[in-house]
Amino acid sequence: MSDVINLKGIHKTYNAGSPLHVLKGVDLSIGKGEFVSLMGASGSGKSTLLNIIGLLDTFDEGEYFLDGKPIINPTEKEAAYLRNHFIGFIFQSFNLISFKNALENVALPLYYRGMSRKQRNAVAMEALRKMGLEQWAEHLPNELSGGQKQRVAIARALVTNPALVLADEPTGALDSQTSTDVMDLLKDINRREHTTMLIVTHDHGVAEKTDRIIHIKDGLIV
Amino acid sequence: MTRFFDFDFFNEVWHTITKNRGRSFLTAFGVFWGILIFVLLKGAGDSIELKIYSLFSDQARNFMVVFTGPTTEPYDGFQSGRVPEFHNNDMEAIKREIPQITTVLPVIYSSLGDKKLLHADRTYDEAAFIGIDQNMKELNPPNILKGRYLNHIDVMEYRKVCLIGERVCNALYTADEEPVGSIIWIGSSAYQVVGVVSDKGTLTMMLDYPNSVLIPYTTMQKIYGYGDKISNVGIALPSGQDEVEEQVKQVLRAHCHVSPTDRGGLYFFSTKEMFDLFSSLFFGINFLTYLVGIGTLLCGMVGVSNIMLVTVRERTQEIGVKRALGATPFSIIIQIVTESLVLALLAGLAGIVVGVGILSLADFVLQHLDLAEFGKFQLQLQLDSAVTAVLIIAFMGMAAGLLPSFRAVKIKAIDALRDE
Repeated sequence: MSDVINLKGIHKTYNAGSPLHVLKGVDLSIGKGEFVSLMGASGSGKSTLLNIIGLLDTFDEGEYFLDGKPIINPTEKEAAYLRNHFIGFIFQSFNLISFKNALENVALPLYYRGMSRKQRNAVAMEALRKMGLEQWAEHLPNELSGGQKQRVAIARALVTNPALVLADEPTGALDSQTSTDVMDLLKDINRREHTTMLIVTHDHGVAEKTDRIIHIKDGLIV
Repeated sequence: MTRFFDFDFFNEVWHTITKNRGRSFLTAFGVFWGILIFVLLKGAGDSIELKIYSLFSDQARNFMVVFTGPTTEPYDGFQSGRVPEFHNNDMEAIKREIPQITTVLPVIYSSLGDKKLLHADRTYDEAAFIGIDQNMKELNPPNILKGRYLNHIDVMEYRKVCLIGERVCNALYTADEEPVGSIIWIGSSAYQVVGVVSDKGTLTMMLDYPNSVLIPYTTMQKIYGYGDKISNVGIALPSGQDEVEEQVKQVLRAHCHVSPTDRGGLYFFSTKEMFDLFSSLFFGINFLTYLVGIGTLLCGMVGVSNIMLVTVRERTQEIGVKRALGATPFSIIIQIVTESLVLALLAGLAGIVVGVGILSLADFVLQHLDLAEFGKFQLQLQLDSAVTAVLIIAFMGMAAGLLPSFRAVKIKAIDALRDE
């Protein structure tokens, strides 16, 4: 099985005043179709690692292969392209764009691919249908419940058929029942579509729903 | 490649502008005001410029007017402070000594003095009384409303004929009286009216035709004791021969005993010089218009830029999310610049429309005022000035969006994730 994520000896130091060595040689590989969670205390480096995997941040040392492709100092434009084509993001606070309705939010990654409005809306509608939200397509985010918002965000993450879905505390802003529903939904998608998912959480209940738990502590995988 | 000519793209731009209506309106007002000021200044400047140049356009030939005044240097045995005089033989001399010159117009500015201008029982004492000859037709053409010009027979035979101006005619004649062929009295002399003239609106020898009574200059010399004196002369200059102008100056100075270096004595005023004078005047007006207009507009644009910076800050999360979803830096720049451009263009176009509206209103009022001596005057913005205004707004609108857009590009997706 080929690896979707393959990290070797990743180092990252922040230079804000005094240098802060956050990642101290992370080795990590996640295979295709895996349903994995990443746990760690705050300050452990898990957010930094997520940002590096998601091409939102750069690393100082080491090797990173995303879906088999080496990632070597991409420009902003290249990183934008790779994020758009290979990675789907799910955020804790949903981060839906408030003035766009559910359908437009889901269609946004396709817009950045240069897809026509008609085509991207059709694809986005199909993604919403899979989440059972087609009747909410025309609604603005503030007209949706927390669970519905996160399902719209999931639809947005999946609409491009990414090689990897990165979820940062996807249940952090939800109540426990909705959290369970969302995790069940993600698991279900993973089972049916074999989408590789990496879920960052500090919630053991959430982590236990996944197939493999990776712990990070003081900048190293333990 | 991100699509920019996309409904959603413009929808988003529109949403951002209308989301905070009050703020957008106030910001736009700065631009609106700048453009309004520019349009009003430029419209007024353009109109005056057009009016002045139309005065030149009817002038078929380049001509020179020569006035006299006190000399400032003693010369040829004369002391300074003398006012030289033109005589009939000076006109002959010019034509003889400079073969390129064929037409010289003599003008005698007289005045009615205590002579009564009378027709039937009506009088008019405000008319200018002028001696002139048939060359007025070439050098200083009036608008002939009725009758004919003075001709060379009138001049040669000292005929007691006259042209009367439109206003003089209105004062002396009732609507159903025929002025041409009738007799008017100037003091104790009777003149036959041969024509009625008005202004052609051209730049001339400063003759106020509508308010004048014009008789042959020879008649004037004979009856009113001018001898062979002339007040001033107009000279038709051949086009494209600047050296002729110099020759005329030399000949006239020699004949009038004025030093070649004297800045007084004789004053030469050619249409070309007037044209150059007006050209530099309008250059100055235009320069000021652009300075004030663009200065005001710049203030408006700084406002736009400032608001866009605030908007970018407010939208940190949105921009970060877009970056995470695959928006390229370029697409973010285009988005912010377009917002700025659209805001500026809307405000600017409103400014142009309102400005043109105000100009039209002022024009309407002007057309309904009696501005007879001013001639026809239209107050309007020239098309090329309007196009210039739009281009300036477009350029400034984009420039105003650039700084905020660079700020927006610096927003990393991480910031959006952290921003909770």
